[in-house]
Amino acid sequence: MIQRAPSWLREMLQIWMQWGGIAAASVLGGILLGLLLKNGVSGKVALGIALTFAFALSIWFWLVIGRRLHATQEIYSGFSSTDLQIEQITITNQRLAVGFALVMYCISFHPSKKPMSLASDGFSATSTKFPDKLVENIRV
Amino acid sequence: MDFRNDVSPLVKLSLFHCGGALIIGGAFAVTAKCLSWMYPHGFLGWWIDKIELILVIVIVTALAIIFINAVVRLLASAVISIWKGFPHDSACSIVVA
Repeated sequence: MIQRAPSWLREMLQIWMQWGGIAAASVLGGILLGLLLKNGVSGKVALGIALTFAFALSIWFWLVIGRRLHATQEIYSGFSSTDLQIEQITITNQRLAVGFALVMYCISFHPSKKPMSLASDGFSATSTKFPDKLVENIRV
Repeated sequence: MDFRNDVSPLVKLSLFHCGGALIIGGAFAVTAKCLSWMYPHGFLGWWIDKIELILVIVIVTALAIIFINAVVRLLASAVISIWKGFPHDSACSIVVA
């Protein structure tokens, strides 16, 4: 499998989307600045908090958008289409198996699963007493 | 001349990043201007001022970081090119130009 760099158009789209993310982070930072100023926080403190928030958010947006849109073009070589289908089916099955195992693991720890108790009927799994009705039947 | 290998870093720096920043900043400035025309005495102007302040600081800082990063990378590439004997890369086009 050969990996090739994406086209420059796709790269440009990625960079512009990253700038859009920075603008969105700045808008949220500006709204936070306004809210802090409305709530009586002093100007310098509010600006510091809003700028820190905006910078952190813009770095996060930049990285997330870059990872989402950065796609190296993959060219398969040396495989027949049947081999590729088998490989894709194997990968899908592995993912499904992992997902199923995770779901079963989560279900096994679900808190709604309570231990079986028959104590309301006068019989408990841990007690050594016989139920009252059973004792009466034995006496009769 | 190979576009991707020779001039790609410079084009990325000037066109992609500066173009993106200009488009985003220009779009916000136009929107703010239109809103100020539509609502001349509204409370929206105060919020737009705050958002513009943060937007200008963040965008200029990001551009400065990208510019310094690109210059450092080009200088490092130039040093490595001189060290290895001018292979065909981005620094070669700068030295030739």
